[in-house]
Amino acid sequence: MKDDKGIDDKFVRDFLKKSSGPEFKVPDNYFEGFQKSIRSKINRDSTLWWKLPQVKIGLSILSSLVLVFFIFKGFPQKKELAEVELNKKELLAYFSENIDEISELELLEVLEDKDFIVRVIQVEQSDSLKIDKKKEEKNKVSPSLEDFTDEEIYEYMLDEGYGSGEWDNL
Amino acid sequence: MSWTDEEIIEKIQDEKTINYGFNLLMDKYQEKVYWVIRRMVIEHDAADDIAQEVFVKVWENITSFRGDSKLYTWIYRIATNEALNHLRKKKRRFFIPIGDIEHELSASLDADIYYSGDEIQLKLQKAILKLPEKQRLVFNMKYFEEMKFKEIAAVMEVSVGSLKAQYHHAVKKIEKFVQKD
Repeated sequence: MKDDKGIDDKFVRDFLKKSSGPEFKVPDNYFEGFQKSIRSKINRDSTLWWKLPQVKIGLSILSSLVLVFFIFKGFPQKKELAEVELNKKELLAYFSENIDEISELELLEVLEDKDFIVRVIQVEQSDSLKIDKKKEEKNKVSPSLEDFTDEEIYEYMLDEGYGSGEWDNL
Repeated sequence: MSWTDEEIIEKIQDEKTINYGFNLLMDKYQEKVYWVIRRMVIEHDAADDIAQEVFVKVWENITSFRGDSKLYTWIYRIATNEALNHLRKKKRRFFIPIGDIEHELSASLDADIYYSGDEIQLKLQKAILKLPEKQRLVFNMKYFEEMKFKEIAAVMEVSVGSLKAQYHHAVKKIEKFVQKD
């Protein structure tokens, strides 16, 4: 067939003439039930409160007000480390859950943001510091002999009955 | 009776007949939209989801449709964008390199219980899958949906000249692929 000024797709047509029967199929009565599925989807969506036009308008007004507030008041200059409570696991979970929503560009930006990576490392380090402290505390619960002076040890032994003969049987 | 797009829009713009108008719209376009999407994403289940999403979007925005473009152009544009977005998401989700989506779709073609093409049809489909996405879209709309270049150009917002060039290249590539084996 020649189409709109001579594009020849005769080859494809001739090739397909050799075949028979349908290629792509749909389930039985698929198109009969199609409208019903869409109607139920639309009705379901219209009952979701966050999809109501009033809510959408309200939210856009609110976000505009917040934006105006920050424009006039100025954005906070520095973020405290404590505010960014991220660790590697949480980050990975966030990225894998929301990978559809994140564009390649955004991912690249995050990877290029050295401050961000530094913050993550800092948080990880502070996490490991906490673990070390916990270990120290744990160790304190069961002190070793080295933590006491000879006098303290001797005093303790006297308190416990050393010299009274009870220890001779040990 | 076959309703024109103008008549359908008229029904939709009247609050009393909006539901009737939307049913007419779905009657007229549901199959066309489904097949454009299906030929792009191959699997029935994915095509079904996307087609439903298209009509939900049409419903949500139909009252603000001003008629700057024709109704079918607007609906096809939503459908093709949704289909292309689905393929992009699929690539991102499974970290598929751009060239490898063709292998994915070929595998879907072999596995899809709703595909029953014979060897010749399968060969042609696999040849079509080797085309770049937009060229594939052009080929499908022109060859299978028998749309005019002018209509496809309006949907894809490109010039008729570039579409003709794309279609020509698509046909040549398919011919080459089919003759190779």
